[in-house]
Amino acid sequence: MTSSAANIQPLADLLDSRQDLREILAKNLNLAHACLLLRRGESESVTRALDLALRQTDSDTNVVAECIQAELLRLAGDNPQAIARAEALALKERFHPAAALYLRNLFPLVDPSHRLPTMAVEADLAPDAGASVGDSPDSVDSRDSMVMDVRASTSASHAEVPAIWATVANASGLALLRLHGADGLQEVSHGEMAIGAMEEAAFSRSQRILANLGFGDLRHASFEGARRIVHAWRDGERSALAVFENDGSASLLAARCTKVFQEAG
Amino acid sequence: MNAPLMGGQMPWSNDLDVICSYLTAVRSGSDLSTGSGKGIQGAGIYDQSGLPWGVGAHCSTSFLDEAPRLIYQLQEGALRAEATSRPTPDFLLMQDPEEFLFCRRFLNDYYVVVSGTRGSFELFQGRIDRCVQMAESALKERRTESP
Repeated sequence: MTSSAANIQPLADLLDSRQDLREILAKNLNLAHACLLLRRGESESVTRALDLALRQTDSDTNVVAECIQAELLRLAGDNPQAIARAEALALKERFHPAAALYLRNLFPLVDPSHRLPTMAVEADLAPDAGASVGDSPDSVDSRDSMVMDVRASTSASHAEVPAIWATVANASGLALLRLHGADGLQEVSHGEMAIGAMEEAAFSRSQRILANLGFGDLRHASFEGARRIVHAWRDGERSALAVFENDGSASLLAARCTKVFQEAG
Repeated sequence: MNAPLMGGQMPWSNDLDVICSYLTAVRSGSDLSTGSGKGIQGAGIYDQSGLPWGVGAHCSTSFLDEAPRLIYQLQEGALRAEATSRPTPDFLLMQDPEEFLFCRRFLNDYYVVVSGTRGSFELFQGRIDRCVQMAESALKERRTESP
């Protein structure tokens, strides 16, 4: 892990280095075009080409497209997210050469203290480990296709939360409240838990399903586990995430949060 | 050439999955997939890019996660050795109080990776050597056969 970034091979070269990967590109010209644009560094155009490529979807295309998305993150300088995305893909497509090769290619960027996603989930599932939303089957599933930037949230001062949220933030059934808005990130956490980018995970998957059904933009999603419930709200750039203990007060707290979120907007 | 691996006989196969399964067969425990049993928990043969060429039956998930990383560590070690003008290491063995992880380079471009509970390494070292021998032979055979 002492290697420099010079050892990282660009994804386009990696895909070009093997016959089986070249054949995947040959089957989907939009994907090949995306790779060409990636090689030229035209990141915005890559996203458009990928959208077109994914219309002709198959498992190989999905894997290579996911590698390209991770490579875009790496090129943008977001190495941790690129690694997390590549790892999530390798977990799902363990024996796919593109997934395995791309993750292997990123090893020099991996921090030695980095925890593998599987290890994070296994640790969260341990009976004597601290309770977390990682315990819910939803989060285990989400690791398949979502980037789960698992990190430990530490306690934050309640004073950081706007006054309108104070009642909810002080409720005994609340485990975590995280607000994103014009003021940046604000968080209240009772105890320590690994949840990472749950807002993104909760929303993006549900968003796609609703979009396919023609239901319009998703505004609220919730996932209920036996011990905890996670709710996520979004309105434009504003978003909120709340984790409650699954007891009798959870639905009432969720309703309060919905009301506060609407009023705060 | 493809005789099954029989107990009491000198084992032989040129199927890399079968060769690795010869190692993962020496394991006890009720839930094989979680790696909770004792003995060898995972065995695989990989190329230098970390792609699997053969994987033993019932390898634990943690083994499949760790194997490419272990190969990378051995390759990193080789690079450091080269930079300090030392001979290239040909295997890497890591042991903690509970488990061992073993990675050995063979035929220059291939790696055998084995993990298991502490103590199994010493117990099954001969079996690991035999597997490497079989894998070397099988891969040489493939090279000879390829145009």
